[in-house]
Amino acid sequence: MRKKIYLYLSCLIPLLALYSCNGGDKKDTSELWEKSMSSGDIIERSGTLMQDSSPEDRKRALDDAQNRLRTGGGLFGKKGGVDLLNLGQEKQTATIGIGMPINPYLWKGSLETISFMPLVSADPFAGIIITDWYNDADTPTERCKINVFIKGLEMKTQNLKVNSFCQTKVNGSWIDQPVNKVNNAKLENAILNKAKKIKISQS
Amino acid sequence: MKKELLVATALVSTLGIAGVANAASMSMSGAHKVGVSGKDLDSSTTNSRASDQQSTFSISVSETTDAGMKISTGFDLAEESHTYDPSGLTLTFTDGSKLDLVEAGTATASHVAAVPGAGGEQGVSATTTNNAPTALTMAAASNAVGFEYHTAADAFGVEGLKASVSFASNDVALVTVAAQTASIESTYSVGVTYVTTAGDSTVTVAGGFVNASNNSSATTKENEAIQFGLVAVTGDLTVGVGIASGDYITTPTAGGDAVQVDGEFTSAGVSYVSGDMTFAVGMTSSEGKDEAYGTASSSSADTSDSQSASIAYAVASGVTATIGYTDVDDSDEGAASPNTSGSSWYVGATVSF
Repeated sequence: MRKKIYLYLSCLIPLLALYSCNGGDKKDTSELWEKSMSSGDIIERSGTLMQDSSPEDRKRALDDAQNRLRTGGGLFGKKGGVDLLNLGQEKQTATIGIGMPINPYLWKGSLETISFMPLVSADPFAGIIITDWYNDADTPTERCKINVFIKGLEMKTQNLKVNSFCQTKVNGSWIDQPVNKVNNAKLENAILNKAKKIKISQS
Repeated sequence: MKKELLVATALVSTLGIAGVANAASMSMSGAHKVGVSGKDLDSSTTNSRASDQQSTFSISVSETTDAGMKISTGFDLAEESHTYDPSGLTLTFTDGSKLDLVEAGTATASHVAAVPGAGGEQGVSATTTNNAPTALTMAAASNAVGFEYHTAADAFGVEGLKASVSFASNDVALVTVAAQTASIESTYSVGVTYVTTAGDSTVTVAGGFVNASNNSSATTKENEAIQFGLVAVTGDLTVGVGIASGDYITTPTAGGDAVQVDGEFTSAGVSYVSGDMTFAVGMTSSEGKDEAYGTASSSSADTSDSQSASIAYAVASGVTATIGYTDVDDSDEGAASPNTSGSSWYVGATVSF
């Protein structure tokens, strides 16, 4: 039988390679992975906290995972477990992403990253956040505002664009400064890092 | 220059404060099973019934760094086996890949097809010298000093592909006495899962390989096995099959000398979900030729065949009621094993929290 299994696998691998060559643009495969029936994927998406480092542990974790997936979660919610550090507090729910045509993690990451600035408008359907002028107490003669554009559903750099505008006060008048692309990139990186952390914390 | 100062103070420095890592999170969960099981052995032993209660309690602690990497660890307290089970350390990177450190080393076990089978805690298990394999993960043993790397989804640019690789290492004193139990030394393992669609069906193909050396000079077999499975989901219907073949060393549950085994294991099953009910039937068939370390056996192989069925009812979130039935037919060295053959049933509930 062992030779047969090796034979099956040796046939399967070239087929996979051929199939993968047929691929074009990268697609969102999250829906596909939601239906994966490998033990590791079932355990991962169920939210069970049980360890799976040995075959015996894995059987126990798989039983618990299947129970959670069959019944829609555990006694205390969809994801596994009770947050011991936030007992008694209002439970946070993942409300972002419902009906939004833009990446919800980039959106929330943007809002949290620039939360220290006053907002003029925030349109989640267009993916646009526009701040008001922000004036730091230590530099009263300088002010900045930021426009954030989120352009798609995927969490990638190309879907995020930040433009910052700064002015300096000269003789009582605010004078525009040249656009600083380095600072725009720093802002984009800060938002992307925040978005990644939000995504990981909710996975 | 002043603008840079402004940006540094007004924006970037403020962003720095906003970018401080989230506070660590600590979660607890677990499961409790309670029920009654009965068994009717083929031997003349009187039928018996027993309560069946098992509990597991888990703690998980995690933290996400500024760079987006999640660090998590935890442990289980499993009453059913009276064990404390630590999880080692898991690093989850921003691209979705993971690295398990400590308590790792059998990547093949992460890529086992979940072949449908009956739920419930029924069984006719008893101490025995039958060494036929009992799962697709036969031979998947490792020392806890190891690592296991899991790729993110869609690995190597292939949609639906995930892979894992692991290595665990140990250096145990050489054992030269044939009758002793050997310890696992170095283990390496790989596992692959591929998910795709075929018409209305989602097909999962999973498999892996493990090789583990041991410290005995008497054994002529190492732990070496390959497993492969396929599961198709079409609407509410799930159909699957899995096969495994390999060598391993083990100690019979009845005690006595450890043995080396050349085994094969096959499982197949179907499940169907109708509303809150899940119906499942499954079968397993295994065969293992056991022999003393380094000795070629001429006796017949040990076998174990089972057929099982169950109905699970989702009562509430986290709560399932299960009725299960299993029939087992064992043989040891070619002779029927009435003490480990017969039928068993289970009625109980599982509560996950």
